[in-house]
Amino acid sequence: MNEDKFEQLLKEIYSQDITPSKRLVQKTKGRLSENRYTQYLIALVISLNLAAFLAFIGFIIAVPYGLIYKAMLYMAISSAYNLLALAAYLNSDRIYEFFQIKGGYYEQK
Amino acid sequence: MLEDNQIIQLYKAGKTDLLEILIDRHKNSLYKFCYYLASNKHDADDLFQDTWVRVMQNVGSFDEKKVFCNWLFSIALNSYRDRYRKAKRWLNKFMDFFSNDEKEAELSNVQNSGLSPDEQAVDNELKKNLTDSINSLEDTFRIPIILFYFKELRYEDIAEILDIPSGTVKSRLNAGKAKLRKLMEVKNYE
Repeated sequence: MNEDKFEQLLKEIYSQDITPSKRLVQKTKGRLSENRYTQYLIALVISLNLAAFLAFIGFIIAVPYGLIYKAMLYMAISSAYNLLALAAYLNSDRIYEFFQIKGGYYEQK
Repeated sequence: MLEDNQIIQLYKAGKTDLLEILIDRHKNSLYKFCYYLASNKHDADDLFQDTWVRVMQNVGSFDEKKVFCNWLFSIALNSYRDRYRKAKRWLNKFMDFFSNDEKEAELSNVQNSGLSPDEQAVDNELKKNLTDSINSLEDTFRIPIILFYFKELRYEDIAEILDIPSGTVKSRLNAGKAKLRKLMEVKNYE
């Protein structure tokens, strides 16, 4: 096989008419908009979490109890807080379904 | 019409819907690149989607003095390296084995103007063998060949995408083609 023929074949192999399906393009756009909303939700959750934690620390400092009671209060509230996080983790699928954006591209199958 | 880099600037400023213009503008070339990288439709679809998600996540780090298209291809390449290089490459060999009919059908779609049916069959066989040989090359040589032929990119652009000097691109291309010719000779296409 001569050099020209070899070059010609390589060019032909890589000149196929390959295009993405309309569905794939729609799905990609849908995934991007979903991803964007997920990022906003994560930012919102982090902000709320931080605010709740600061309020929780503020409350413990403000209550007129002794150090031992404050430590016990901290243990009790942080246990409840972690239990809430565990419950959210265990039910993450349901939470995801609840917050899923309806009418997005994923719905247009 | 807005340039790619102007769209990126507006996207960074909060006009997030504008990314869809970029998708529509580059979908064909990116998908074609993904298809040649992944060697099958299913993985190309995944790679195409992953690339755009990564573009969205990393758009803040895009240097607007550079060419968007090159950056897009480098993101696709990194996604491919992360996800497909190890596990899926091996799996693809299996899939290739079972999807030869599909490949042959695709190859027969390539324009063969002016050839008789017999000549066309020989030509398709030759292309199939060459495609198999390219896919058997290491990524170091295969990827510069894909980038050079599928969009006829300049050495400088390929160098930017691969993040290597353009001299290295030239030497890898020549070495890759030399390896290909040897593989074809082994298959009796001299």
